[in-house]
Amino acid sequence: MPDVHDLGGAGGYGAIPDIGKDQEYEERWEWTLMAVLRLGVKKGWYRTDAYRHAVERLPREFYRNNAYYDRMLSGVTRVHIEAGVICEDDLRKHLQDQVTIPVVVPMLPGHGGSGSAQATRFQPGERVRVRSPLPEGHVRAPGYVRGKIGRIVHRGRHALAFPGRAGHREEGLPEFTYRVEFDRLALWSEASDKGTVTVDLAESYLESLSLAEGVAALVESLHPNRARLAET
Amino acid sequence: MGCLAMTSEEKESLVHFNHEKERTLALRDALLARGLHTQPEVDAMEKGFESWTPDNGAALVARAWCDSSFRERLLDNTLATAKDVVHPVPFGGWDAVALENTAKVHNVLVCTLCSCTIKSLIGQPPGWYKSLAYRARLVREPRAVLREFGLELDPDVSIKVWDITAETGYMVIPRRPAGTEGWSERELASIVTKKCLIGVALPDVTAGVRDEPVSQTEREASNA
Repeated sequence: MPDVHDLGGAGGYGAIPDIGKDQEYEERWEWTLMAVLRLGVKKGWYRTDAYRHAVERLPREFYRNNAYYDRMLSGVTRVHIEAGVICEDDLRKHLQDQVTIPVVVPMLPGHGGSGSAQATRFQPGERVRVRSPLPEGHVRAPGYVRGKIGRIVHRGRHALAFPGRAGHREEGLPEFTYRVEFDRLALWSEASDKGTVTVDLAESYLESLSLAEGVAALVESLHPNRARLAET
Repeated sequence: MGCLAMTSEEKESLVHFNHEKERTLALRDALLARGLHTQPEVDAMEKGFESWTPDNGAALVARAWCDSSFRERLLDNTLATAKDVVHPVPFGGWDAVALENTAKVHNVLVCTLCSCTIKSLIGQPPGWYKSLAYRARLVREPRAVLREFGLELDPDVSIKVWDITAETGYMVIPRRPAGTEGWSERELASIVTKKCLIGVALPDVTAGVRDEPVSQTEREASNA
């Protein structure tokens, strides 16, 4: 299952690189790449989610070791090929022999959501759990919140194409998303900082709590150390 | 190439080393050759990116600092309110939400799954924002990450990390620093950087670009 991109909370990373450098462009071709990506979306060949999912399907070592623009370019190239607008031979005509076109893990069938573009199930202030497990494929719910309980802070303003469909070049019903706030200690019990993480999640990724769970979650949030002390 | 001998930081610092330019131009040229795009279309799209800079977000912050009713409207509906200040509004289909820092709350942004940013207000994301290390570490140990940026927050300030996972981007409204009393909006905007809008820095009063002082003659002329 391609999940190398799902990095939130992953260990083993060191100092943030290039902190002194805010300029984001080195060379003009980087703009060309962005233009080509956006033109394909504009012309309806693929959605942005399909491009993201192509990047997610790059081999793990490639994803980890190659440069940002290499990942992006590989995803943009692959999404054009999978959309059928060009083929590899078209590219080869413009490439030196030794330049390879990166391959990706084949795309699985997509999956639909259970939300509706009109109805909205959850209200601000409500506590919800992120469903776990979630289907394989293009899922815009980071691993670090799956199975966790958070509080709805607001509902998104627009219904969006569901990632499990749009990422797989399939049609489906759009859904609203919700900004869900999680206590950091609920995500990583050893975290040294007590603040929060807020994630923007499609309705289908969320489920209601039972009454008992809701009460427990409320108590936990008021006294985050109480439950841990009770366990010891 | 010696990739294995490099540290992960060194690898992340190397921007291009796998024929990226050639492969990008090959993709463009393949699309042009098939008549799927024209060069003017590509040029126009590239040109459109020029207006996507942090100056847009900075202008919104400066106005919010000066005008409390604008600030309320900006917090309530960022996209609609931004149109008062940013012309044209180049939002590319995304929604935007402004997040206000307070004495007790500091907001900071990341996209752990890829590198999403509200580019029309913040500009293109810098390399550090897109790095695997930032994506991995900010959600879990934000205080330590901010310290690497030189930002040490008081222990009683709560850090809210916002992970951009759907088509809504955020921009941070930092607290207005002391020492800016009487500044114009343009002067205030000059201290709101991309790093401030993402939440890894606070505005630096000493970096402010002050307006040219008006001469006595000009002042009299404008008062006449």
